[in-house]
Amino acid sequence: MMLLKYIQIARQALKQKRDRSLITILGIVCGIAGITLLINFGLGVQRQIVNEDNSGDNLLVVRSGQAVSSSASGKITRYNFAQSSGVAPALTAGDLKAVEGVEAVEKATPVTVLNEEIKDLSGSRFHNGHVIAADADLLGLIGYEMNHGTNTLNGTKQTVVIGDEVARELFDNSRPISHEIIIGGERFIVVGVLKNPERLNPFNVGFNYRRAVIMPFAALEALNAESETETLIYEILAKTKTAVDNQIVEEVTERVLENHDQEQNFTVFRNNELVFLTGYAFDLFRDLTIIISIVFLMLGGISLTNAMQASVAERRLEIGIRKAVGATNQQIMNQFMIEALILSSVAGFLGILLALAFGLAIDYWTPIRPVIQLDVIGLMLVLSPLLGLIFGAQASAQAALQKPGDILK
Amino acid sequence: MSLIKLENVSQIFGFGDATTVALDQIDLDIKKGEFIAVMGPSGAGKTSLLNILGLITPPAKGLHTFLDQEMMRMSQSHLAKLRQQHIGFVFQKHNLLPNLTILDNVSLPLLYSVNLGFLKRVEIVKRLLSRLGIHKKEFLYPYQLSGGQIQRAAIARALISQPTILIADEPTGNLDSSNSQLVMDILQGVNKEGLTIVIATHEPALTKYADRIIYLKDGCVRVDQKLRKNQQIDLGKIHDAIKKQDMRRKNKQESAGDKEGASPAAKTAKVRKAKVRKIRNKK
Repeated sequence: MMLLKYIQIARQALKQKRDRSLITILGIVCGIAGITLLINFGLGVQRQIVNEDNSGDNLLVVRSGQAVSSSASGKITRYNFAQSSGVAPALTAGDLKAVEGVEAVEKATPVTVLNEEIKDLSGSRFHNGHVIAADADLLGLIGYEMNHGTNTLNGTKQTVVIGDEVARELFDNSRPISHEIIIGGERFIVVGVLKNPERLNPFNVGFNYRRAVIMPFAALEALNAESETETLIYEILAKTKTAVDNQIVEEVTERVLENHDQEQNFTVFRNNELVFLTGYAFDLFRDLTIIISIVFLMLGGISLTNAMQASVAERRLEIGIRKAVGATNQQIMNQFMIEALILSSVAGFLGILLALAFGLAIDYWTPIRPVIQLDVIGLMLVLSPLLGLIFGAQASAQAALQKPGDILK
Repeated sequence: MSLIKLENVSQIFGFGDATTVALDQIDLDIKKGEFIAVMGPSGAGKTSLLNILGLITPPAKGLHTFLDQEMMRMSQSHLAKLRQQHIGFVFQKHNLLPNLTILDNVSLPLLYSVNLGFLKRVEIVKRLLSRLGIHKKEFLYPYQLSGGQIQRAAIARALISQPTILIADEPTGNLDSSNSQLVMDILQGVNKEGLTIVIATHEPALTKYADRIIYLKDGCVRVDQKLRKNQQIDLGKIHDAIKKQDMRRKNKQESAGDKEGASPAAKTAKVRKAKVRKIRNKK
């Protein structure tokens, strides 16, 4: 019963200073939202990539740049972000031949990323898209399926397979087969539309295949040949006849090294290593952002302490009168603690709502599917009032120790 | 029966050269059912005395008993409970909390003492406000009431927990004469029902409601006398009596051998310092 009365008093006091209350809780809202979202985000990525990867053990990737550092035993010790972002020189057709020449390799597929605009015939641009040149084996290797049309990425014909978001946004049509698309001033015909993938591509999480236009690699080579430009390759995906082991990795590395004058400016990944690294990169990003969120939480807590102290100073007279009519120190302290608890609990609740809203937005706009974990939400619901208890304690004690005689002179 | 006893009670504020002796070794015995008017010039110690009687400030020195319990050794929570149960306080300036309705203001003491439902609280407050002539105001805010109505609401707050003693510090200080009379009639009415009342006032006209007057000057009780029914104090006579007392005291001091020829101000300062030392040493 007394608790209800404290809540009533707290509600009245907070209503009086609505603006200050809102500003006070902002830091805690951001902190709780950040932590909740990132934990859910990380779990979603983990589920989509690391846990559900079924690309198989007989896949190998050769990628430009020294993306990782390894120990003498071959164990990856570090992920080099700068090297893995395409700053290093690209692979060539010679490297593709070298990989194909390895006996254990069944087939090898080149993948190139182009920095070209995507437009329709009327000149409307498709924003935030990717142009990829590869051959028909790519989709099978990375586990993507066609929704409409065919996967004719062989030969030099200027045909493309597009992602479902490209179909919807550029053509306003879910099956724009035979429509034309312009890439880098050249016309291409749409022959197929990809199915919305249920999971992320572990080989390049940075690419959103829903917003990709995939052209035949041979067509790109033909176009480059006209302008006497060498076709550079971003990565080579290779399917092996047996499960990839150290011997196969060594052999592929040696063959490609021969093409690079023994300079190892490329990285050879096994499938599970790539999946691990992708997960590792996300984990790192997630952990960093959680640290930032914790800083926000601390700042929010300090803001709460400051606001409570200001409240106590403003309400000295009220405290004096309450004590004069019989409030004990404990009752005054409880009153202010409840105020701090209400502020922080409301902040936590709003933070969770904000995190869920952002999660829905991420789910809609990106291929990542944040997971809503009830235990994470429960943890945040417990953490928020705890913050109120910790950061409201000092001001509440200050209020309790006010002497009515000093106030009511 | 003694309700409150003060024996050799003193109150000092400040420290060093800024020390003020608000009350100087006063003795007081307040009996149940009395209506006491405490008078005196500004700075005489009226508010300090009322704050001690109301258990708001402890005295610096002396014995203070309330209902035969010694107050000096009591914990803060116990004092708070005594305030809840036995004391109603009407302040001159600090009346109602502006962000609470009259209902919430008047029932504030009940918040800390009893568990009552909303409807029960409304019923009790309505009855009390009706009795004080301000019914139908319970859901208004203080700024929506007149000065007299605010003061009556403050009295209602003091009476709501059925205290043993009501202490009012200049309850009519900010009121016009008709509202003053209204307030004093209310106090007289509750006094007749057995409630002990102690009020501090500057107005001699209000002493006709009291049956005892205590006149303070410079922190000391200079006059403590019973009044007849409806007797209004004559301040002139009181001042004369005090002057005579002061003359007698001065003569006594002079004849006691203070021949240094110091200035009156230096003598006063010397006397004040001696008082403070005496109070602090015997604490």
